[in-house]
Amino acid sequence: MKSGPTSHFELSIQMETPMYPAPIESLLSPTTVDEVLRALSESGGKETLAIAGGMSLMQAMKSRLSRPDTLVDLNNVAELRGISWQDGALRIGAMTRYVDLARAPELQDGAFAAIADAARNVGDRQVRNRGTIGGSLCWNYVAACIPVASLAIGPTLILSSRDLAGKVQTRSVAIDEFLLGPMQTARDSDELLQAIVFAKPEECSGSAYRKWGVSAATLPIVGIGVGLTVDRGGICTSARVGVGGLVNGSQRLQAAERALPGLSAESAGAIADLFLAAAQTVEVQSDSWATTDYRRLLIQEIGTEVTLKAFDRATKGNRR
Amino acid sequence: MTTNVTFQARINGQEVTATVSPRTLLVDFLRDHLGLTGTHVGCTFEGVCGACTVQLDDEAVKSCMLLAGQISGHQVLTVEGLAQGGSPHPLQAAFQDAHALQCGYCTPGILMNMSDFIGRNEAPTDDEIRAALVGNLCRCTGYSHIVEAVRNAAHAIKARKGAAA
Repeated sequence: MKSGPTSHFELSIQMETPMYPAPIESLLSPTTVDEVLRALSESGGKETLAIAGGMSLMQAMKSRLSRPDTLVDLNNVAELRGISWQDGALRIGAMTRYVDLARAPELQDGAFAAIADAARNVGDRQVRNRGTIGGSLCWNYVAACIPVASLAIGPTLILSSRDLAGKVQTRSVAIDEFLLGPMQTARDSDELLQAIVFAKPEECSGSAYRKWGVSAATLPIVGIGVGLTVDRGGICTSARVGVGGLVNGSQRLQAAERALPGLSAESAGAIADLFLAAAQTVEVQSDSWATTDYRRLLIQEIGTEVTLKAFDRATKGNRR
Repeated sequence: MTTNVTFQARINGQEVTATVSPRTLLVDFLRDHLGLTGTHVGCTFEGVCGACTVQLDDEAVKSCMLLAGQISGHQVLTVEGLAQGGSPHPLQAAFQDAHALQCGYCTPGILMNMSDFIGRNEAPTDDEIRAALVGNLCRCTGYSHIVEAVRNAAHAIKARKGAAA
């Protein structure tokens, strides 16, 4: 018989493998939307979460803020990925990753370019290889880029679920009604976000997004997205402005939206003034990263820059 | 009741079949189940250090941010599989030549990210290399020798392709 103290080596191999997430009862890997909806609807009282890229959910699980019983991995569902035109509207599958959005030809200029602007600078390249547009919208973190860029354009979200009889229900929710507040959305726990649909843009529309953080790759202290339409003279006829990084999460900056029509890219001074005034109309927090006044200055600076970029993209429609 | 996950995946060119608890992180599976300890763990839950970077279907990902069961049916390349035919990958050779590592802890993750990167950008600028390195922390080198090594490796690969053509 062996005697004496157990060696450190023996101890270490007897120990359970160190794992940070709390126990998960099952990991499902469906390959069709139907299988996903079935898994979400037949949770049997267990906390069942769909995992998209997992770039936020895995952090939450490893810190045990989130302790799902069942995980439904969406990464093998091909029909949830991809970008396609449908009658002039652009449909982006919810599992389309940042890396794919960043290089999508459909998003490099014009009405939807804010999405690629945002995707190009999310996290780092390892994160962009996993993180998805749908995951970001459903997580709706206070300092996320995709929700803000989306608010600037105004897409519709396609959500599906399965009722008790097994019938698939689909509903469309406008982005403004979907994003309810920090980490809250209109998605029910048994619903799957299938796609984000950007309606056929008006002629001469452009959008842009930019974030500012303490270093280039960090989460935004302030992020601003602007989407606008101009007339033949380059005058703004309508605008949507999204702002993120604030205590109330991603939101519209309506005071700026009301003030932009009638202006052109020639009036940079007036644009800067209207963003500073608009920054006074939203709740802006002070923290260790930036004071309230500094955040308001950032809203002015970035808002002006992003608006001019959106004007440039919109007026290209005139030049074509 | 936990249902273990049984999966098949190709790891460093070898078909692997495994059964794990669903919560097993990919990095722990690689290190503790397969003994592929070249993949390192630097941070805790945040996934910010990049030391655990591997390639999943030829794309750099952080293996601490995936569950092992998620690689079912996919290919994973770790630093152990980077050298081909007994000779170092050009990036590994360039790291040695440029002294692009000191303690070496971050090196495997950087090699797995940058080998993917220069495979997609054969003549990167220093700014592009630095932007691509955002997800990998190095506490020793100050990065300048790493940038130099990546640039040199990209040149070497391009030159080799040109010579072969």
